[in-house]
Amino acid sequence: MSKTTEKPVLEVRNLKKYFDKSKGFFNREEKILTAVDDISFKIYKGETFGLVGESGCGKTTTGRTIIKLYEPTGGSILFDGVDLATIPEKDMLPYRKDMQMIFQDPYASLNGRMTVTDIVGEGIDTHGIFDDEDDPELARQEKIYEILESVGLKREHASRYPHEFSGGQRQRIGIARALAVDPKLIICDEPISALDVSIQAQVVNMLEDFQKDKGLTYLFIAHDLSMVKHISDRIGVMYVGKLMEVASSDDLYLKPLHPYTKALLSSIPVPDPDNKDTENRIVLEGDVTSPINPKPRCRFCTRCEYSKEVLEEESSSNFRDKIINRYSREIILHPETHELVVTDGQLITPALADKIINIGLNKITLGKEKCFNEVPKLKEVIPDHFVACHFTKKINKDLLK
Amino acid sequence: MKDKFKLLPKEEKRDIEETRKSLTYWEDVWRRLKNHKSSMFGLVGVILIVFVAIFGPFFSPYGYEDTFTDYINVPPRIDIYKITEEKYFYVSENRYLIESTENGTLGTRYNEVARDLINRVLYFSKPYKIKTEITSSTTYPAPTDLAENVFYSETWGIGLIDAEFATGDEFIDIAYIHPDSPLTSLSFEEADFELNDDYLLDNVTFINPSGDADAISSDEGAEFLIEQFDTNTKIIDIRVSSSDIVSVDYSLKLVEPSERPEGMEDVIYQIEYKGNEVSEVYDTVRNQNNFLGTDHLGRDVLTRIIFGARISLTVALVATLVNFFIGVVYGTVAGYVGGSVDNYMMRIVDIINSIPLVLYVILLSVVLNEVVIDFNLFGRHFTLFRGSGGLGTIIVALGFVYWVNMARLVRGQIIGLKRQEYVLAARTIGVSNIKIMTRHLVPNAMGPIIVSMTMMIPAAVFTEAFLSFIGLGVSAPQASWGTLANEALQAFRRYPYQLFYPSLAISITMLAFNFLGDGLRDALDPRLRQG
Repeated sequence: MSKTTEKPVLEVRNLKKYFDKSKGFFNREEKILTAVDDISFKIYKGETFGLVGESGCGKTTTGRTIIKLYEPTGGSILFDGVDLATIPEKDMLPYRKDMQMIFQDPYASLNGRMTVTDIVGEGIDTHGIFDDEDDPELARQEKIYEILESVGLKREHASRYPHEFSGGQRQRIGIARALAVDPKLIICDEPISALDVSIQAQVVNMLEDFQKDKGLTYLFIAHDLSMVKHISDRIGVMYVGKLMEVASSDDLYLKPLHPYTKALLSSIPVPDPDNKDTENRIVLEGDVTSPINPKPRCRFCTRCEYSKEVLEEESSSNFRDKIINRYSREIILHPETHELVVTDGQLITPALADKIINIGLNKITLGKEKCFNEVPKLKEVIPDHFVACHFTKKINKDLLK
Repeated sequence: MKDKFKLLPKEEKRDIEETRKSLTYWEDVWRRLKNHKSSMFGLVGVILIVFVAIFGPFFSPYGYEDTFTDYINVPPRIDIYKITEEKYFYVSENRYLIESTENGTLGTRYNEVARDLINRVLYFSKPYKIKTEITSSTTYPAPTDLAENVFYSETWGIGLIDAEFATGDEFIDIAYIHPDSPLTSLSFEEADFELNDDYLLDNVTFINPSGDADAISSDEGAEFLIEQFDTNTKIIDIRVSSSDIVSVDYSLKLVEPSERPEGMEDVIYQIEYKGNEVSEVYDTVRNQNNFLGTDHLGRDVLTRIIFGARISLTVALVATLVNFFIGVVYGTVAGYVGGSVDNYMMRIVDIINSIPLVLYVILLSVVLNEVVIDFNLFGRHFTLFRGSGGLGTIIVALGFVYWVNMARLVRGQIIGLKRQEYVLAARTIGVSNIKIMTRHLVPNAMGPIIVSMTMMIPAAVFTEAFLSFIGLGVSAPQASWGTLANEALQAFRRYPYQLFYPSLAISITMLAFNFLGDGLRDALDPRLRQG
């Protein structure tokens, strides 16, 4: 399903959202948290774009920056050809109507002091949708009833307060609120993660029905991979503020090209106690790279098995030549103190190489220079399949064929 | 076993959802508050206090500045002595003799006419009135042949010749009226006295008069008073004689120091009236004139406490308004806008908060002493603010500083609430910032706001009482509970009731507000109760 000829509803270009974490008056060290760092993708009309990644990878920040809850640090958000990033907050109102959001926590996302009517009607009031009608009050009430019924609630629920509803019902109220202004794009920020499984299915099916009926476009943020696969047409995989891979959902699940995507997909639990499937699971080592002041390199390089290069001694001088000016990434013996130290992405100088050899190390794991020295760009490796990895082709030789 | 359970007939089956009434947040709070006993006491107390402060003065027969010079330092419960079937007397702590009825309604205060310090006898007489009339305002020179100790009024042409006191039970003074004086007669309450040829009145005793107009005093206590009713009629108060004299025989009885604090000797009175001698207290009755007694200027303590409630409640109202309109708004704006705006706003709060309230009051009372703000509306004159009164200063000082804690609290609440998803949802809808603050943030922060307000109101009332107590607050003749306590403190050992009742009023108010606040906190945040 090639979408390249269509015009996208939403196009995100080089979107950046940095948070200043510098603390203190005297501590002048600058700390920039790169929650979203230079990501680009397109969402076409009527499709569902899934955004997955582990906790803290910037999925939610991406969603909130697109809807301008956060002011983007850089890049552009083209919505129907209008760059929202350049529009000041006070002029945003007309665009707010076209873009809505469904939130993760059905308990936190509804104001406990307002009735369901007030919650759902807030958008109608703000945008003055029925101001031209003869009886705007009646039209508003009818619209609210209609929406409530369409999300599976009853009319008499309209005058109640949120605390009188279950989690699933509350999430329906949240969806009704988003639908009340007839948006074109809905950003679903983990709308089902707080619900239990049976209700998850109901809510997802309801969202799909609305998409069919009203031609809605969804940006679906989640970390439940199987649910994302079910609902999404295309999926973007994020890792520490960067998009690692973008592909259609079938493509992504069948042919993951990025090492991180592969690891992520292998973590999907198999609901079969007999088939433990532990052999195929890729267990990543090490910690997630800090998004604070990141170095210009592949965000995944510290954990990627393909960024490693194991060098073994053949002859001393040969070994020396091999390791000089290469990037180390593993733990090695400290040449002077004989302690093990982390040399994460450092250049090994000739002097250091000599010391390593003098100690008698004959095997050393080094990182690949490119992975540690250069940010990989998101490239279209095969049609409609984008990957951000320096060694995609090398790693996936067989898969690409 | 089987017939123990019966199926419910169909018509009695009800949908649970249908039967349960939908409660709003505040209905739920009220329901929980009703179950909280002490807070209901507090609520009733607060309502009572407010009611008394608003309507009490209308029912009070006296004003807060009305003084009854006859009844100074009369306690709420008085010891009365029965002399005859109709005559009862109360002897006040400072040895005034006041006529009373059996149930404790006080009457005329007898005036001390003489004292025999050796035998410890005080002589009292009922004050009488002499009515005189005048037609001109000529001055009359004193006759040359009057005795040495004569007191002479040039206006009236009346001279009073002082006779010897304490010689026996007869007291004879002689009144001389100038022959040219327009005064033609003198009338007592009971009898008219004719002027003889020499214009002398015999057998009349002029004793210490009551009232506070221009009195002429002798060195032995023979005084008389001229009160002017209008240009022609004057009243001269003169005390009369012999048979109505009451003598009080008091003796000091010393008891063991351990039984009674030092200086509190038990005084036993022996009262003699027309031959009847009484030395035992007939009854201890409630003071019917002044329910809670009078203070050192003869002002009604109850009335002053009721008026004091007005001042305390005014302070409470100001504290509430300031907290709500400045504190909540300031805190909301600082918390919601955030960033450097928040930083600057909170530093201002820090600066204000770093200076103690007492200092503000002292400085402001210096600055505001001369300031009076008044205006005319519908032909009536209103004084909006008077700096010299003391209350104005306290109100301005509270207005300046009392909102800072509320601002901090609200700011903290708002910072927490503004990250809530429903606020984000409102922002994605495009709701304006003011509406987000008023419809989403403030209503949700209302719980802590109300709780801290009910805790801050008694603190403000207490602050006012404290400042008045140390002399920085409301000034005389206005009565705040603090000033009442302060005035009472000077004679606290002798008249403890004067300190007790204002303190009780302060305590009840504190307790009522604190109980209510406590209950409200539980009702507004039921999770706290477990902890």
